[in-house]
Amino acid sequence: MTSEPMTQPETYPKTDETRKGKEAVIRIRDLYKSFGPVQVLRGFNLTLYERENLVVMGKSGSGKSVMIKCLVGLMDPDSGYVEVLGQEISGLGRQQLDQLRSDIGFLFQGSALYDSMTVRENLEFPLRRHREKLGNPKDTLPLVEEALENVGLAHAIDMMPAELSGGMKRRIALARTLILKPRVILYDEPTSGLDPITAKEIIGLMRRIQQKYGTASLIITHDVDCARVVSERILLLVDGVNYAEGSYAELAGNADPKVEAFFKK
Amino acid sequence: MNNVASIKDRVYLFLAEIGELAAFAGRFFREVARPPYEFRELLRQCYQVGNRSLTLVLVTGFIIGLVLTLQSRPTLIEFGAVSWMPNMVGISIVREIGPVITALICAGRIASGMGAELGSMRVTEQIDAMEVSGTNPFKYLVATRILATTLMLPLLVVFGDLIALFGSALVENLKGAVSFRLYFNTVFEALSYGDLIPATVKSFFFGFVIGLVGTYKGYYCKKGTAGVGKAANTAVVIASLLLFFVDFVAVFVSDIFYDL
Amino acid sequence: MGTPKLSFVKLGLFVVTGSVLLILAAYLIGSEQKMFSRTFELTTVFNNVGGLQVGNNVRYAGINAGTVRAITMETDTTIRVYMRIDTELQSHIKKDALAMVGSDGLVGSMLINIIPGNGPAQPVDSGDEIRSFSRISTQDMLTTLNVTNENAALLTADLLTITQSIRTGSGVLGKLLNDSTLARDLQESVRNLKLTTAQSNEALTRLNRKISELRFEDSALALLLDDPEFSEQIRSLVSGLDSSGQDIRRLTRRLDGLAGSLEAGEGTLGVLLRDSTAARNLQSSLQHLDSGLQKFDQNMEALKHNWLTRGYFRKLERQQQ
Repeated sequence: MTSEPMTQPETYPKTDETRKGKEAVIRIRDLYKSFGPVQVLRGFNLTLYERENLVVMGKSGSGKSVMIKCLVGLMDPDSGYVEVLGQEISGLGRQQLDQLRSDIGFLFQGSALYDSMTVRENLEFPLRRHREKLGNPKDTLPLVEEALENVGLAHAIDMMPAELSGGMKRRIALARTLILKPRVILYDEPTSGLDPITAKEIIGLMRRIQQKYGTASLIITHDVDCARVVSERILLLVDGVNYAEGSYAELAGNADPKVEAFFKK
Repeated sequence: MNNVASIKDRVYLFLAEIGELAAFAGRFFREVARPPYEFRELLRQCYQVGNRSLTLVLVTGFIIGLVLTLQSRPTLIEFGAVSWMPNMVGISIVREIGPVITALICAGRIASGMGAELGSMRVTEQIDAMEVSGTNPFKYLVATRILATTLMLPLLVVFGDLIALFGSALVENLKGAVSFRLYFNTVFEALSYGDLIPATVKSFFFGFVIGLVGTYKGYYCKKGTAGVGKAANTAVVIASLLLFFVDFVAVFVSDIFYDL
Repeated sequence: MGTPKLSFVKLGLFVVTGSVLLILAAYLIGSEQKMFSRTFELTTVFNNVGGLQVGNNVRYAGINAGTVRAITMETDTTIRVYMRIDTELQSHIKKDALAMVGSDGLVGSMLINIIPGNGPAQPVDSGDEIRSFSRISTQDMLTTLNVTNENAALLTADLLTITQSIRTGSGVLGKLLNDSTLARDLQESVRNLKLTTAQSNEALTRLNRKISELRFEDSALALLLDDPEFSEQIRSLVSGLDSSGQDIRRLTRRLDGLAGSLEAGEGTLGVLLRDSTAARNLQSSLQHLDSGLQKFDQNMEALKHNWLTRGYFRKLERQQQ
């Protein structure tokens, strides 16, 4: 895989990948991944266009998280083609991968704030290796403050993660994701573990950020409310393959029992 | 039949564990040699390992010195060799007891701490978060910690040795009216580089083992809170066992090089 | 990252303190082995080092002067020991100093004692070889001397009895004159005794000189032998040997005279013939004397091979040639 060129035009023609004049930022083709005897992904396909919000829905253990981790090189797929921002992940060396990752924001399921660091240090952490991307600023404080203002938590700059509530943690994590001004943001269950009101706040925040920075978002969730509010397009992941695709309205009205199971209240 | 299979499985798992640990150690040496170096984090970890363990090491060392002397006194008196106390205690502490006790304490404190800390970082995806933020978590979390324990343990051993000798001298001073000056003079006369150098070299390996096992268990922690607990627990158990093994080998090797 | 600067200060303190302590410990251990003071080298040769090891202490007149640097086998029977000695002591150690292997207390480690010489010798130079003294062979020698002394005492007692009976009972002489074998025996015995006495006399003189040379009264042998009882023993032994040697000499002179009169005189013949008991006594006494002299000879032989007296006997042989 590693020695092959980044694109495979015969199998995946580029013409297929534009829609309404938008470039594809993420392309996944025939993704396979299994853990021991368990096949999690069995030929999954996905395309995310620029400035688009795509929600991937699936049951727990359906391989959503595995798929999203393959996108940033945290996991290696058994086979398949993964391309982000025009670069094939499996063909990248460590440095190129790090470079690419600075353009991908990743919001982890449990916020994944570094417990031993203050909020400020948490936000500064991605800047350790990616300062040059922001023009090598001498002082990182304005960047940290800007990111915190985006999520409305400027006052929490010197707090420790342990002192924050779940909702605040999620927002700080979002601020940390935004600090490098990524072009794509991957959300792994952004509302999991939050009460409905806080979840709504986070969803509102996600929408605002998307409008402000014009990023493309790939959102993984099993929260129907989240999907309804955020999504422009929804993709259902069932048994390791994409089962259905469409807008919220289209899918909510679908009579297929497997589709219906997601939207039944 | 089932029993036989399970023994076979256990052996298999045991070998797999050793292999993984060795690969982990190999990765450490590769990563630690290659830039970028996480120097600040190394200092932070040195502080965590060194200064934060010092009190515990001092207290334990002092008590060990005290107890060793109190326990040996009656026997030495019986042989009329109580004036040999500094020689006996000095050599046994510097050669063996100091490094081993300090290392075991540090295995309990540091290896479990690292197992739990890295374990919870793994479980809450903090390690993944580091990876995607462009910082190599192995370098940042693992290499710095192993290096810190390797560098700090010999120093802790020095402190532990000294306080243990002080505890022993205190007993001799109170019970046998031996002056501290005479006690330490005798100790240093009894000691040679053949005692000090192998013990110090051994301490580096002890530190390496503690850091290695602690970070290994944490870094490959299984999902869930139980996984974190297990990581911390097995880190202590395996580190302690490995310490004794390393000690055994070290005694053999130092016997070859320092036939004194 | 933003860890308070104080923690780095503390870490610095910890590292500096630990390193200083380690270096200090290394220095203290090293200074006990005279590694950092300026040193010079002395060598000596032993037949037996009795478990001495590299790194053992070297003491001069009881103070720690240095350490053993190396021990090498030189020939089949000699072992060369290299010692690293503190330069400060160089002017005090003279060329006639003696090195000997000792031990530091009852169960202590081995060490080398350098004992000051007697005469006004030059101070040692670096690399000099000083004489060695083996305590193990000294002990052998003392045992030998002791046995010799006992034998000499026995011999003396016998001879006293003989002369006593000769002086009192005149009947023995008649018996003696009749028995030519007995007369020859007596003559031979007396000759042997004379020889032995001369030898032992000279040996004793030599031994005395040696011992006084070692400044026996001063620190030398006393230190060497550690306990006063031992040195007392050797002293009484030597004086015992000396006095018994004198006794033997005295007796020999008397017997010599007796034998001479036996050969020459005839007037006492009748008297001697009358007393048969005295004659028997004399016979058995002479047998005793013979065996006693044999033992004495053996002991002298042993003495000849001993360290202290060996040189003297060699010289004696050369003179005889």
